[in-house]
Amino acid sequence: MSEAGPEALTVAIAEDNTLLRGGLQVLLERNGFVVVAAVGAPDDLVDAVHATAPDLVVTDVRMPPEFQSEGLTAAVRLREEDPTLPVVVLSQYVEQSYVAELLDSSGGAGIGYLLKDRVSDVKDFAATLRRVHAGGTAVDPAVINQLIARRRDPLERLTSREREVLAVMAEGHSNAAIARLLFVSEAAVVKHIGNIMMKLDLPPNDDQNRRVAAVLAYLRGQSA
Amino acid sequence: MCSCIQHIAGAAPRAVGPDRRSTVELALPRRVSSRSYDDGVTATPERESPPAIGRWRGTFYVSAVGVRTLVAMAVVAALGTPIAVALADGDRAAAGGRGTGGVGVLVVAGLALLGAGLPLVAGALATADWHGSAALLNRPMPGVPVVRFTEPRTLIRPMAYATVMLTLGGAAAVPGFLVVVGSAVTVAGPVLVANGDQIVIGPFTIDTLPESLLAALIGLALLTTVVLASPSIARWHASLVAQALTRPEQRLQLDLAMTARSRTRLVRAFDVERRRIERDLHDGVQPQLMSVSMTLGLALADMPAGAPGREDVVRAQDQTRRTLEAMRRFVRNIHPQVLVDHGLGAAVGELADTLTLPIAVEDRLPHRLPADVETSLYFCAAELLTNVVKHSGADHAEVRLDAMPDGSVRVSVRDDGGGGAGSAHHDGGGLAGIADRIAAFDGTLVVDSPLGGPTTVTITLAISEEDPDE
Repeated sequence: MSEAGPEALTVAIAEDNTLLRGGLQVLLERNGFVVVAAVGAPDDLVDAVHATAPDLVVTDVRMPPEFQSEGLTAAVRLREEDPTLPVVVLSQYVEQSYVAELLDSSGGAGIGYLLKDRVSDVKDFAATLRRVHAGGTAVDPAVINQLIARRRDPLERLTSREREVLAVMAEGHSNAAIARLLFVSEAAVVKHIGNIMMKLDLPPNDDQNRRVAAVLAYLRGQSA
Repeated sequence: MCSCIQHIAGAAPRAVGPDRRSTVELALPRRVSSRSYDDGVTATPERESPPAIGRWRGTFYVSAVGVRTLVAMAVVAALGTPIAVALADGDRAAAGGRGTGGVGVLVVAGLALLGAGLPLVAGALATADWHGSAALLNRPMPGVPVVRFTEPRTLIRPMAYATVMLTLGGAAAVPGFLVVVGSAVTVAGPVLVANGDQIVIGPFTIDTLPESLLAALIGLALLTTVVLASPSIARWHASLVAQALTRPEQRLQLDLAMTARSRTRLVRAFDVERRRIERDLHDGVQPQLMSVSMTLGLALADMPAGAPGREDVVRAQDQTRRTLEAMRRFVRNIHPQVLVDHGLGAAVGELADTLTLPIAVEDRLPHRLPADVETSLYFCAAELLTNVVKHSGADHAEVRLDAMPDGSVRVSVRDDGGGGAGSAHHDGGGLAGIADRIAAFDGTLVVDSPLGGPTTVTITLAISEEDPDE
């Protein structure tokens, strides 16, 4: 049942809860990833990444010893060592203050920040990991909604449809994927995105990843 | 349009709502009444049991008190000498038929000496015994007794104490002294008798070796009894000192300080408990639910569309996800992780994002605050923001976090709603709970909410690194 072939991606997992670590491992292996390391502590993750040089890192935020944001710190550290290493951070809660730490490391290309719940949408989750590996940015819709709530005033100019597009776009989906997810035509998506960029005073950009980065930067108040 | 300003100071928490009393306040009287004044006024809840007093320390203490009492009695007797002389003189004069002029002078002089001397003796005795018992119990004792002739009420307690010591104390000290001296002599008796001396104690004359040995045994037994009884006598006397010399307001102050400390401890204990619950949920229930959700996800991934039972699995996954969502909100309300990781400003910001009202958060704190202060201020801010959303009818609100030049922290929540918060028209909207929380940290809560608005609620908290248990 495994699709692991020559191009199977290697993944290092860090999750301190053994139940979830095991589950995550099974889930990834069944979806064509090769889990080269599954560890329960941030230091072990750093060591494992050094030892196995995986294609992708998936880590929990809250891990020992202090059970604060050690996993995130480890992820940021790994990114500093290798700014091209794709890292997906999973968290029980998503808070935009955490995403800031992560996105500030090398502009957000090849970065994912997701609620742990998303894992249960197995196919989606696997697709998201592949997007991040391809240099995409995947930020949980919950974070985007939070950011939208924060920057309420200019965003009030967006229609509700445009806000939906914005949220899905921030997950790193392509125009075609957005169209499929929202049940609209791809041309409509292009139009919505154009409107969003215009209303937010952002330069039009066809590069999907840079587009996401620009929107996130805007939402976080960096280009306002 | 009166501006309704309530100022709630730390030492005297006052519930804003008419009948909102927090558990913190309710818990206090029990704790206070659980201790009695009898075993020393300085008893604190952690030190309910009186400290152990060793035999020799007790003996030393009792001896010292005895000697001081005897000296005080001697001084008083000395002060009374002129009167005694006058009385004797008067008797002689009456017998010899001489004039009584000298007698009158002596009596007046004696009364003056006693009048001025007794308070001095009382003050000296009270002060010495106070220091003695503080040293014995090794505790801070409130207020050294001070006698000031310009302030006659300061005489009352030392005089009352001295009266007890000079009468009852003397009645115990004099026989005690005689017993100890007598016993000491009898213990040395066999040696004295062997050298040909004889010992006379009251009606008894000891001049043979067997007699002296028996007497020595009795003396030894008496001395041992005194030593063994000393700790109890010492403790009894120390409690007398505390009762007689502590002014009632000092007891109250002490109680109040103790109460404030225990309240702070309680509030902190609540917060520690909240964190523990949050951790238990995060480490236990949430991962298990996640695991269920993942397993369902795996099952779904392998089920072709239209497979029998697929609908049910989809529904189960949906339900699990919703439960996780609810759990997340629940946990956030118990203790948000972002507060631990990123501090007050971030946590209040994230909270504001989840509320329906546009809320601007301005964080001007230069650095992180102590964890317990962050927790308390967070829950206060959360309560205030909830109030704004629920009751104020405001369109906008603003939270400001400022570090004040004097080292305190100020949290102010302002809204453009209808005002009247904390007035009779409202139930206090949780303000009482906030006041209790803040009072536990010796902070202040100021509510400025004129009818018609706007409302500004300001919390100011001093930051001290001091541990309340110290």
